[in-house]
Amino acid sequence: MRPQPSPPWIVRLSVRIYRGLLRGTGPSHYFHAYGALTLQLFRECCLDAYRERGPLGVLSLWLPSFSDAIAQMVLEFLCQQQYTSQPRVSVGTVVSALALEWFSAPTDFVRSLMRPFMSHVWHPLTRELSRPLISASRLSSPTNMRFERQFLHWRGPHGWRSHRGRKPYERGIDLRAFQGMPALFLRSKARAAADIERVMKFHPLDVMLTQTIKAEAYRGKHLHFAADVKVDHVAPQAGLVIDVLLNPPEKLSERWHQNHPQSVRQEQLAQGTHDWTHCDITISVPANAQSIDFGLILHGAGQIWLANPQLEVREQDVMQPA
Amino acid sequence: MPYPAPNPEEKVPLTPAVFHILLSLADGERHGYAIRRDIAAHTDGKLRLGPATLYRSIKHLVEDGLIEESDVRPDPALDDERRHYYRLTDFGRQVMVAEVRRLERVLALARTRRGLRGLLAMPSSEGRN
Repeated sequence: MRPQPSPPWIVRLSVRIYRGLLRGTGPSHYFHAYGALTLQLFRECCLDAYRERGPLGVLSLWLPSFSDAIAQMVLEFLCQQQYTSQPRVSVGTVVSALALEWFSAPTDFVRSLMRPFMSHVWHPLTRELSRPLISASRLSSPTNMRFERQFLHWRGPHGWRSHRGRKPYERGIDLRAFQGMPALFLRSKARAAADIERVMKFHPLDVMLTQTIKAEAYRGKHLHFAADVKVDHVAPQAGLVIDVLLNPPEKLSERWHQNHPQSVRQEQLAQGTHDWTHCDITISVPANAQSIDFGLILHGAGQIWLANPQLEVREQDVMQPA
Repeated sequence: MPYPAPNPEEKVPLTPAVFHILLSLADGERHGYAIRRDIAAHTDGKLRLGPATLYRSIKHLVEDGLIEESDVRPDPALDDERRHYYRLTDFGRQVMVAEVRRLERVLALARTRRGLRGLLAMPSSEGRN
């Protein structure tokens, strides 16, 4: 790279403000993937303006560039929300999501101060407020099963907690991964052994990439989920999953929660590395089922692909052991 | 069951920003700064994409498979090696052709309207200058 002189102070200041706007208003996945490129382009625009008109030229960039950055980052955030299982997003959900995104960025110290508020007030409140909306907008049947509309209705990675604002899991689509067909993938960003240990230390939970449908049409039936799956350096396990969320009784009691599971789950897991394999699982949907999640699950680190998923009712199927 | 190839017609109409980015990449690989300058040049400065608009559009074009990042890295002596170059995919080219044909149909329709026919036959104000 050619040695470059230090940019003028007005350019350095502008870039610093712009970086703050990108980080503060946009989703962190955008900043990690495209933040440096966006900042570099803005810096070059500032340098052009400085060469043409001096500091006033740079100042004239502030309003259009800063408003553009804020608008695009908010749009990116809303676009990210659209790819969840809730296609219709209310203003309240957007505000909640934006607030949650803000809260996911601060340091561990600030996070530790906010933890009681988050766990006792914020999370229960947002969960209760969003429950009717989520229920009303859930799909009745599987949709976008060939990923022709990218991630639409595929939700995740979910089930993990961010560590220092970093997101250790990501999703994607390999356009011709399986016999010329696209495949959805879920992977941990950590690949080296030490990094995998770190992932397992901070993210011992199950990370899932799933689609959610209403359970009404499937209650009391055997639901069969089949797909072609490939895994790469998975440790300890990854595979297919069906998770059926159950409706609690009208009057909840702590005793009921202790004695009854809130969901039933079936998994078909693999480990290590192997090529495409046809996998399937069958689950009996209970009469009090509320919703059904099906897709990929990753315990730990590695990468798993999903292609050609099919979900169908089998009236007289033989149940597989859990 | 073979997976149906994506239909370029489903991607049109394109937004002006996306259309001009694809148009800029139609002649070869470019990095973000070159795309922005090219767009400003071929629209006579009327469309100046902000850095966030440009890279957010690029992000979605990559996700949709219309463009891809090139493996080519410039000579560090000639260019900034941090720059990422992008190029059209075959699917992106098909979408671009579909969009241009759609615009041709719109233009043909506009030419059939009596209220516009005379005006469209005259040279544009830019052409007169």
